[in-house]
Amino acid sequence: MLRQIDLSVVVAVADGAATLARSLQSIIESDFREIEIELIVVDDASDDGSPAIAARYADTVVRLTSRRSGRAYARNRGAEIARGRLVAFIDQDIAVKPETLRLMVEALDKHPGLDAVAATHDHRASAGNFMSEYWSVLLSVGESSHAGVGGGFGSGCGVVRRSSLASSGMYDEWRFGTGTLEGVELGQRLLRTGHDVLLTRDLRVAQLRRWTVRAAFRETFTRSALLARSLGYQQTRASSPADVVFTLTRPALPLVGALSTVALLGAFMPGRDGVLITAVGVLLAVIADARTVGEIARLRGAFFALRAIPVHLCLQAVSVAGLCSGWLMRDAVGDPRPDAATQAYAEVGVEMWPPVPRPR
Amino acid sequence: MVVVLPENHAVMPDKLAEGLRVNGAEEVDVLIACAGQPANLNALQRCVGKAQFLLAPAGTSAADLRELAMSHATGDIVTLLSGAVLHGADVAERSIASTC
Repeated sequence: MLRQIDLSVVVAVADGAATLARSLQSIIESDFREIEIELIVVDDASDDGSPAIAARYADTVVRLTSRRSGRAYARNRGAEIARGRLVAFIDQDIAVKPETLRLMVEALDKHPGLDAVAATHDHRASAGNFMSEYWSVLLSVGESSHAGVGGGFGSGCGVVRRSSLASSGMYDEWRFGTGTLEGVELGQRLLRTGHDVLLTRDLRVAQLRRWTVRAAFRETFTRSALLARSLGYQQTRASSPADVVFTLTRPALPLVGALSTVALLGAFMPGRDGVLITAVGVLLAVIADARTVGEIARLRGAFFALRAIPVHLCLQAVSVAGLCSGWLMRDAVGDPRPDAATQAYAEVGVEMWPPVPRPR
Repeated sequence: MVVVLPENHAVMPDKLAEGLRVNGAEEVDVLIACAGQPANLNALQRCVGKAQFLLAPAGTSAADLRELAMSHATGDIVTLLSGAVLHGADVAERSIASTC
């Protein structure tokens, strides 16, 4: 007899050997009590031995060997073979607490009208370096400020009813090949199609990845550009910019970005005028984003917040640059699309598994 | 499909064949990874004729067996089963001293 599965946990991995074992270990050590689970790892063409690591923990390992297709595509393949009535999507660099997944399942069982639950990030990182700590506290502050029903599905750990996922069309694997905003987009689509999504600050997950300044800036730029280009900045609800750059509202983002840019430019100007411009720019930017800086100080102390201010302001400037780049790309090129060969295969409709990315 | 049989565990051949059948293994490649040579290897091979057997040194852990088997599996979708899961620990699995 096949086991009756309550929860299928899908972990999409792409070159995740550095964190995958700890992530999977945290999942299998979870306190599930009576909940029957299966663990599915979908390897998106890794070349760092991730499938071998996955085999040590997983019930099923799916290998997508041809070429990297993105997290949305990989998660959809995992969901296709999932047998559970609920499906959890967890990032390769996320560690869950022992009770997190069980409480998410219980929340969905207790509230039939609820279709998806997402956990928020803990403000403490595992990696220990300053950038990882800052990134975690930023995620935590941003997600917590938008928690509640309708809060989104963009975090690194979420559980959704399989029927709701299927009826809403699953992840958008056509436009989100780069793998950054597919969760935000799915959350919005679930809400639009009448499904309730809860982002809860009561359930926390920890980041395992070691972030560097460069990686954080690149991630922020990519998310911001994709937000403007693909999600359609004006069409998204007001809190979406905060989902992407974590803290700011739509009106505050350009303001803080502009002030941060002025402050940065002032730093390159010779003489006392440059110093003055930088000081005034920094001060105004900090005042404009006082709520975030205050939250960082409350969570991690004033000294940490002071250290974070320069990085934070630079990040907002990068975010504005990403948004501008996304707008330009959207107007000049249009929505992101897969390469020509993929589009041709999709048009012909070749039946195969794993399939070519499909438009929604 | 990979079936992992750690050391000090035994699976009755007919139960293994039945377990694979009900798990839909008729049309898939089956790889059975054992830590040490099972005492009933011949019987296992007779009952699960299409399966490929992978014999790892005695003492190999279940996690290492899984990793080893994964490197030999060729399919896009690899399902990893413990021998005990196939038919319940009370029936299919017996703890014995020196064979898998």
